Amino acid sequence: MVKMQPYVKMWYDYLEEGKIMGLKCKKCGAYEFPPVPVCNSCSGTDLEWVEMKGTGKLISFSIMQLMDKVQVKYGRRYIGQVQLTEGPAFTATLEDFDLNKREELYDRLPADVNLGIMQFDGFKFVSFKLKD
Amino acid sequence: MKTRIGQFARSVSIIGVGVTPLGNVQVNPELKDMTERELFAWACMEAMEDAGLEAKDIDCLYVGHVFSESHSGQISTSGMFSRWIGMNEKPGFRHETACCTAVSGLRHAVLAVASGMHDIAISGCVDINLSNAMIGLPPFNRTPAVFEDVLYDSNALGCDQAYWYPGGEIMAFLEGAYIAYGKKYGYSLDQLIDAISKCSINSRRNAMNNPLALLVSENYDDEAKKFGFDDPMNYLKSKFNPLIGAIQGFKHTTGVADGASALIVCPTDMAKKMIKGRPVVEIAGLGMTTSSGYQQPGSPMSFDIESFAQSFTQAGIKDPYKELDYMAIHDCCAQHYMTVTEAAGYFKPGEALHAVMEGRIAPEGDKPVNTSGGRLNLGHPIAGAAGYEIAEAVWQMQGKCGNRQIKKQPETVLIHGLGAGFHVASAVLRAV
Repeated sequence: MVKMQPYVKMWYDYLEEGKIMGLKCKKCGAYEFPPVPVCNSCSGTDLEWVEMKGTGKLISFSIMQLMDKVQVKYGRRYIGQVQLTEGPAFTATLEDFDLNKREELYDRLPADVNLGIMQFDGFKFVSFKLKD
Repeated sequence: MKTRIGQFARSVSIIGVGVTPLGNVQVNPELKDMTERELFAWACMEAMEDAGLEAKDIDCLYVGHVFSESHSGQISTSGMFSRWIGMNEKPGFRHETACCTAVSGLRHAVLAVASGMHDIAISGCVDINLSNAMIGLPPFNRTPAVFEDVLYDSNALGCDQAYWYPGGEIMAFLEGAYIAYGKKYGYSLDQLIDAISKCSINSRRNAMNNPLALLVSENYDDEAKKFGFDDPMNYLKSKFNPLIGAIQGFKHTTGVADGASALIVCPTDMAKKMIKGRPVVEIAGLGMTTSSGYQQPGSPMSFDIESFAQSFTQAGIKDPYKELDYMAIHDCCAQHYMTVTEAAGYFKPGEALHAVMEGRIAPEGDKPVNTSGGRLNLGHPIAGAAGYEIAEAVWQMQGKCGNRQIKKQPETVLIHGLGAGFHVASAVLRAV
């Protein structure tokens, strides 16, 4: 018998509590982040919620300049591809880095980052900051 | 995850291709006042004529139509399109994998024939992207579309909408792959920008040699001069090519278009009896991956590698660098001339950037790519996009490309399609 959970709602609820959560496969130890109910490494279906370490490497970046009516609320920003310490990769917003210093950011790749949580229009989502 | 790849139960070949010009149904006289129906029928009828077949000869149809709800105001459009091409009540369905829909359509058609269920299958793909049908009025009444609304708000391309965040969609991670590429091989950001500009200039030149391209009217040399630049490379670095990313400008990316493409396949032994005086084009291998691009950091992207691996396994390609004569990529962004060609092994790791700067990807070069003008300058009709590159490949293999013709008529070709950052569909075509 499959025991399905409302994974998406639970993920956002955890963010409201200040926790960045993923799922860890009990069979092979691989992580699914953001959460999905089946392990994409070994096909295992017995996964448990775990708090992510909140660290990773920034592999690359872009700047979102072309904004529609939703994005314009958030403004121009760096978007970076982060490889989490636990393995999964994720694309997220880079906080607090000068948009005019793209060469400096390029020089720093791959850069150590800490994950964070940003508050936007009615919900929270995962972001990251460069480590000093 | 690796996929087990078998062989087709029987060899399948392309016996007909057809495309419409690419433009705007509200503007260009060649397409004026046409709806999706006329465009779809035009491409399919061209393919039937090319194959020397009538509609009654064809057993089944596959209809690629991506924005049928948002731009056409209609679902399940295969039902009406079947009658528009004389195939009423024949088996078929509508499908979509965004910008690689035409490669998926090829896959559907090939599998239908390779399985033995049908002998002749047609795949047609259509989208009108620059305007929307007005619900409640006959569909030639249209209002200009705001494409960004469809792409970003509604679809968050390449991302799981559940975990979407503003700005993280397809353009971000495709440019990110190029940034990672540059870092990997020690290129400066200026070198990366120069290379994508060079790709755009080459693409525009190819499109200007392609009578299907209705949305471009001059080479970048002439366009640059109008704005006071002697060198189009400097023009493409100027304010006249505003940034949409960290380094890529508007003219380094695609603009959408209205259009349709179609192809017909049948068993290779049947094709050899039907086609005289030109090479028969066999589909030697197919590849398809489903994934989310926003979780694929760096370059090359793993869903490209896996899709190509499937195609190469089936086609028996051991050394793509030596065995491929031509490659067609989904060039919605110019950086794919570097990142995707290297993912396929068409270029060696780190080589493509120099190859682009040296002009090797031009039709007269030793490693030609997208001689049609591609999505950058021929235009991007979404569903039908890859159909234009399949048609161009078939024409190249048959020596029909005129002043775009590759010096050595290609015999083995790799087709790449990227669908919304969610799918990579590929195919190896081989002259037999």
